[in-house]
Amino acid sequence: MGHGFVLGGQWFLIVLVMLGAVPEVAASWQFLLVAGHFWRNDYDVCAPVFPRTAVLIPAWNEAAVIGASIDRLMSLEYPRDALRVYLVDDASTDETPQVAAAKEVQYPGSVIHLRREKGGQGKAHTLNHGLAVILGDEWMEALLITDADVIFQADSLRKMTRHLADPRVGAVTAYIKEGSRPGNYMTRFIGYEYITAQAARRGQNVLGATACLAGGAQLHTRANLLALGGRIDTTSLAEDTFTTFQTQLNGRRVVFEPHAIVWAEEPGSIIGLWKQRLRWARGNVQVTKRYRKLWFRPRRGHRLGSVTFGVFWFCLFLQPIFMIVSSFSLVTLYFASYAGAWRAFHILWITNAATYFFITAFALLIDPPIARHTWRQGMMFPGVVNLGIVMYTCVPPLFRDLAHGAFAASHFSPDHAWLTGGILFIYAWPAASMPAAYLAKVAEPHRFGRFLSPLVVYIVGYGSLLCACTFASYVKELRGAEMKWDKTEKTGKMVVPT
Amino acid sequence: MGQDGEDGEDGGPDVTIEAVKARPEVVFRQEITDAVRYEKGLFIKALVVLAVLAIMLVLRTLYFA
Repeated sequence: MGHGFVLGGQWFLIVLVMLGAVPEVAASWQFLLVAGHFWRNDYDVCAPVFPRTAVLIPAWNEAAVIGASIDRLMSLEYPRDALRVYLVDDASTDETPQVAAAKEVQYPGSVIHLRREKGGQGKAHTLNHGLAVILGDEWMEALLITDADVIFQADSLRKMTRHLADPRVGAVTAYIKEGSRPGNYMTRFIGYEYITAQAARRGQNVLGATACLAGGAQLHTRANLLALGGRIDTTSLAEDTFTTFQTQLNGRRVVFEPHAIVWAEEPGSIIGLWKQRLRWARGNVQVTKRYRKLWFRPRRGHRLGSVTFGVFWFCLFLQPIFMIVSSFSLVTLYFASYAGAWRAFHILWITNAATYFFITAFALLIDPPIARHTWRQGMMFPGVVNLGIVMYTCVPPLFRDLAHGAFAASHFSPDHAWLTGGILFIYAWPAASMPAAYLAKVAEPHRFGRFLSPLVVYIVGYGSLLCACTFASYVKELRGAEMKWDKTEKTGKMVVPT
Repeated sequence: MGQDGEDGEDGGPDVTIEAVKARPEVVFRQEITDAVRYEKGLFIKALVVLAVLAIMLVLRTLYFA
């Protein structure tokens, strides 16, 4: 009875350890769906349609970027008489009003400058100001919501509108690429991350359920906007995710068009990334709570309640929890059964190694031009320590020989305490990497942080940094912290291929 | 450069727009064909990556376990 209880406990711990691999396995599953996009796509119901499209740009202190963005919009391969740009200036204090006024003169009747005298309430309020004007007359048939820094490739809009030939489609989104050049280590990490994010959207196309329209490129039909009440949700930090969910709950489809390409400038520092991702992650907490009756409850009319979509959503949303539970269980198992812990550790990390190889190799092959710019960051995504563990679990004899050689050369012979400490460090690392990543953020503003913080990110991994952001979002939401709209600073450092 | 690869002499965007309007069906068909071909390529790339992964797992099991 006692032995059975202990054995059952050990198996329970092994299952908890394996939770650490669940998000990676789910991500691989999503990548496998990408391969299915060849069969399951929306191209057979597309047609060359050019609805009268209003482009809505919320702008607060965007003088550095807004002029170039408008120029690019005005040179889109799209009928000029079917395109209008509405710039909603959210009480900017820089040169944005002057730039907007100049563009109004340069493109008479095509660029409309709207100004809010009292701003700072957030993006959704700014969008609603423009929406009220645009929906006020019958001209607009489709609405493209974008950001002031986003640059559209010439053919991107018409590649999006071709999906509106299908009356079931309510919204379309595009492939957002990071465009900072030469950029730095952070923008390259983001550039690689965006390949994986767009791969996920391809997978969601196959699944028939989309988690989020890219905030910088969301095209809506007029009917869809009216069904949403003619306004964007202002009660959360993830207005684009709410819009995406509500569109699908209203029975309309959301489509990702991977061949419509737009470029955006993303944060070049940990602090900038932290602000942006904390906002997104808090928004995801709010979405998870708001739609709590939706998850894992399949319904007719949409696939948001499907088990697969729920697994994808919660694997991302709960990834820090999976990592903490897995590490804690592995350390506990070490004290209960050394051999059992060692076996569980190997299974966990061989699974992680296989998913890492599949996702990284496939992601780099999905978008070779971006991969050429970001492949180092793609390979270093899990961090040096995790990669070391992956290498060890894949080729243990090689590491054993290397370790013996190194110890012999340094005349150091690790005793039992050293080995125990090393093993426990490795077991606890997935959880410990998150506070370590947080330290990189704390160190960044200091003098030594300029050198130290990127080093720490490479050691702990960009993935752990994102998980730390997600964990911070739980804390903020549990505390009921103020919903502050921390805008990502744009400097106009993008170089877009022509 | 427009989809037809024929930017106007003056480089003005309207030239490209007119080209798209004049024969949207041709441009559209070609773009759809290209898109589907790209997606087929992704399927093949996924198969290649999976095959390499399978070989690595077999090698690891046989020689490095």
